[in-house]
Amino acid sequence: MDVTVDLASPIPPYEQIRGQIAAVIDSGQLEEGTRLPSMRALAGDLGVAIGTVARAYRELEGAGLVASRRRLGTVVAAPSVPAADAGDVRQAAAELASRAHQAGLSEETALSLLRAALVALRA
Amino acid sequence: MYIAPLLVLLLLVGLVAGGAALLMRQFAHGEDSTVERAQRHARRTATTAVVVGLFAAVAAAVAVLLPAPLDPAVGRPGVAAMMLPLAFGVAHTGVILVGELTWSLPSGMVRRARLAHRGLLQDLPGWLLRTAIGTLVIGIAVIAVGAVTADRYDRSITVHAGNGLVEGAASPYVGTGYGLPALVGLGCLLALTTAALWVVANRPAIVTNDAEVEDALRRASGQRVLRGATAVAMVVVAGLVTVSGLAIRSAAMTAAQAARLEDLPVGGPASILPWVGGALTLIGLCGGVAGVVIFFVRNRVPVPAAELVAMEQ
Repeated sequence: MDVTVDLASPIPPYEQIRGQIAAVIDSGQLEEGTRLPSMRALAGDLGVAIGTVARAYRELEGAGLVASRRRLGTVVAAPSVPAADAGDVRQAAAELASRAHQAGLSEETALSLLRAALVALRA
Repeated sequence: MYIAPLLVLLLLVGLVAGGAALLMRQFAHGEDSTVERAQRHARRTATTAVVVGLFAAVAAAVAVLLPAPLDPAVGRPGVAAMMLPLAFGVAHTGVILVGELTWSLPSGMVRRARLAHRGLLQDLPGWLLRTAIGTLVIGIAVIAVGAVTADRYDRSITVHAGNGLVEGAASPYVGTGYGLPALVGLGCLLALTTAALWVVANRPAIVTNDAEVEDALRRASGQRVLRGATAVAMVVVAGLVTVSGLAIRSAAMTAAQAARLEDLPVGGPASILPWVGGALTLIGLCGGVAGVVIFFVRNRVPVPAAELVAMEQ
């Protein structure tokens, strides 16, 4: 399981890190209690400042996705969506991702389509 | 006392290792693949560590043997002999520490990292870790027992026989005279080793598609640090055990001989201690040989096929 940071992207690096970690926690790929890499190690691997990773972790902690423990460091707390409630949605999301990939759509286009669908629901 | 040269040595090692690391980094840029560059950096660090370690060992021994009017000359050759492996270990670990700090940094606009925690002692061979901890515990125990059982000169042991009417003394023995410098040296080595293992766990990952190579390179780095420190600690502790064993054996045999000459009962301690001393000597010698062998145990890092193809082109 990897985290990628694109320095050319308009999205700030801390937000890219936060978004990807939040996504893997919400998708259930990281179980509760799993230790995340230390801020220094992740910052070193990505070649970004420690403060960048610290901000991403702080925001994840604020959202209740991770928790800081004195001896263990940063650990996964719980997905923001309970696993039982999100089963169907996860399946649909996986299917959307698969279809978008088959259709040759970029990630941004697939996400735009999803956002458009959500906006249409609110209207 | 004799500890001062070791502390001065730490400073010198830092300066020399820093210079060596800067040189290594200057030559590290080229057209080779990342993995090949990382392997070369690791090889250079290992070679530099051995060379600097050997120089440091000789320098420390010479520094201890230099004339010092205020210090007594008794026991200096023994401390100098003990400084050889300790200085080598401190310098060796120090250079590897700096080498790990100068590992190549990630470059390019898109960077990738594995979302997995890396622990300080993770991926280190269990046998090596157990040997390191065991050696440290035995070393502290030997120094503590030596400090309690040494006679008033702190560098020798006295064994009584013939109901306490005759005695035999022998040196060198691991009293505070040798135990304290050994303890300080082992403490410095432990601190440096912990720092180096921490740097190994936190240094940037190599940019490669093969996670096994990155794992193997990190494992090899950790093993290099721990192997050197463990080997040195084993040689130092084995040396203390060997010379103490010889001293116990010699003192007990002298006391027993004196008792027999005076037609006095030899007694239990003077009868048993020669065997105890002999056994300690043998154990110490075996431990020393094992320490040297551990230093030469290598961990090969696999190079992925894709990297090999790139290197051949």
